[in-house]
Amino acid sequence: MRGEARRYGSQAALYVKGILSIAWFYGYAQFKRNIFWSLHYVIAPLAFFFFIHLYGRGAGTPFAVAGGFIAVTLAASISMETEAAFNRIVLKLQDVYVASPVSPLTYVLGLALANMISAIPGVVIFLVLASLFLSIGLFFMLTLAAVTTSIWLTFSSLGFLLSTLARDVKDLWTWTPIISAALSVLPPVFYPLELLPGYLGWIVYAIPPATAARVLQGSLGAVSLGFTEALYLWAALLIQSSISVALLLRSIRWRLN
Amino acid sequence: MGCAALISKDLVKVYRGGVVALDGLSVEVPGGCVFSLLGRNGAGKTTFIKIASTQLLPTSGYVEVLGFDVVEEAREVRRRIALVPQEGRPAYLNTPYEHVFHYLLTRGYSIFDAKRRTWEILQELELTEYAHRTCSQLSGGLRQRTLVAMALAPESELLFLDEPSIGLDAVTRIKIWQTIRSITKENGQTVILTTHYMEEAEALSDIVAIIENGHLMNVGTVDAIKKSLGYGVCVEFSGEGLELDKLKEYGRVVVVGGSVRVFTEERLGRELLEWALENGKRAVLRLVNLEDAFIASVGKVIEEYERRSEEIW
Repeated sequence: MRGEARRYGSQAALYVKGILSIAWFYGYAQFKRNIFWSLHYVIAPLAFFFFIHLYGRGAGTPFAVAGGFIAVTLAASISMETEAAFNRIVLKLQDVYVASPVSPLTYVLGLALANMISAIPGVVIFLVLASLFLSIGLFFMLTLAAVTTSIWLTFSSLGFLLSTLARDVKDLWTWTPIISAALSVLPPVFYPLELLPGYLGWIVYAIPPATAARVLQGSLGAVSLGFTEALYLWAALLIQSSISVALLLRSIRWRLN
Repeated sequence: MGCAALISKDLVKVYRGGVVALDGLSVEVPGGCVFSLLGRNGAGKTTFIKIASTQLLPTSGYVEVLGFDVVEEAREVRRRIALVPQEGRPAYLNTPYEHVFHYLLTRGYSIFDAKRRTWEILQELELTEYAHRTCSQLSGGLRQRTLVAMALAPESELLFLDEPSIGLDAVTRIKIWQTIRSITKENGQTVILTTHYMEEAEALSDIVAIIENGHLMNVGTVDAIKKSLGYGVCVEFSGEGLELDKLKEYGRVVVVGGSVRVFTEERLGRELLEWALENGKRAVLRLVNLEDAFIASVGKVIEEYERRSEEIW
C-alpha cells in the first residue's frame, strides 16, 4: 500500500489516532522518564498554598486550592509556547510533520494533550489537599473538569500562537514564565475578588484564570455566587476559550510565505 | 526510472528582504531514481526542498510532485512524501522506537502494522540494539539514523533527504547509502537528496543537479556531468610557487583553497605530471570526478561575478 497514507477507518479516526500518538510521544513517553519535570508546575502553587493555608489559619484554604488548580493548569498549558517553538526551531521535528498527512490541528491538539499529562501530578496533589482540608463532591469535580478544560484550551492556543513568533532559540523561554506568573499571581486567582478595589471588578471577566478561579471558589463555597454572576462567569469562560481557539484556527498554518 | 516524480518550472523564491533564493529553477526528476542536489551553502537547495515538500510557498513558478501541485494540492502531496530535515534532531527523551512507531501511527498505520514496520526499519538501519535507549544517550550518528528511520519507515513514494548524512562517520554513512539505494531499487521509491559530500552524490545518484545562486548550472547522470567538463583527467597540485600561466597551457586551471587543479586530456596530463616530477612539484594524476565537475560549474559563476582572470574558489 506504498504511496498512500495508510488509512484504517474514517478520516476522523485518523485525526484521533494522530492526536493520541503525538500526545503519547511528547506526553506520556517523556513524562515517565522525567517525572520531576512535571513537578515544576506545582512548586510555586504549592508554596502559595502553604503560605495562604498557614497564614490564614484555614480561612484562605479554598482560595489556595482553587488557585493551585488554575495555576498548575495554566503553567502546563502555556508551556505549549516552549514545546512547539523547540520542536520547530531546535529539533525541526515540526518539518517532519508538515511533510506528512498530519494536519496542523492534529499536531497542536496532540502537543496540548501531552502538556496536560505533565500537569497530572500537580492536579492530583491539589485534589489530595482539597479532600484533606475541604469538602468536595461531584459538583466540584465536574466544575473543576470544565474550568480546567477551558484554561487548557485558552492557554494552549495562546501558547502555540506565541510559539509562531519565536525566531531564535533565545526566544524560546520568553513568554511562558512571564504569562504564567503574571496571570496566576497578580489577578484574583489565589485570593477573592473582593480584596481588590471595586473599579477592578471587570478583571474577573477579562482575565481567564481570574474567571476560572472565581467559578472554582464559588463551587468550593468560598464565595457566594448569584445565579446571574455564575451565568456571566461561565459565559466569559466559554467566550475566552472560543476566542483563543478561533484565533488559533485562523492563524494556524503549516506553510510559510 | 518511470515518469516524472517531480517537475519544477520557472521556480522563483524571494524571501522578505529581497534575498533571491531560487531564480527560475526548472528541473524534472524521474520516478524511481536518486536525485541529488549539489550546491554551495546558500545556493538554494534547502529552499527547493522546502517548497517541494510543502513547507514553503514559492514566490512564482510551479512545482508538481507525483502529479499534484504543491500549492493547490498540498494535502495529496503530503500523503505521498516523507522528509529528513536539514539539521534535524530527535526528541532527547524519546527512543528511536518511539520516534518511528508514533510517526507511523500519525500516518494512519494500525498499531500492529506500526510495530512490525518499526522493527523492520530499525533492523535495516542497525538500530535495534538502541531501540529503547533515549536519544539523549545516543551518539550524533545514531540520532541522525533515527531521523532517517522515521522518514524511511512509511515507504512513501517520494523521500526528501536534506543532508541526511551530515555528521555521520564513514561506516554509518555507507550503511545509509546502501539503505537508500535498496529502497529505490526494490521499492521503486524516488529520493531527492541534498548533500555536500561529493562521494555520497557520486555513489548514490542516478541524476545530479548542480545549483548556484538559485540557478540550475548542470543536470544529468554522474557520467554526463563529468563529461560536461570536457576533460578526462585532472592533475592536482598541492603546495605553492606554481606558475598558473604555465599550467594554463595544458588545460583549464582551477584554484581551490591550497591546491591547483588542471583539467586536461590524458596525454597532456601525463606530460604535466612528468613536468611536475622533474621540477619537484607535488602532483597526482587521476580521472576527473564529480567534485571536479562541481567546482568547474560553480567556479564559472564565481568567475563571472568576481570578473577575475583566474578561477578561484
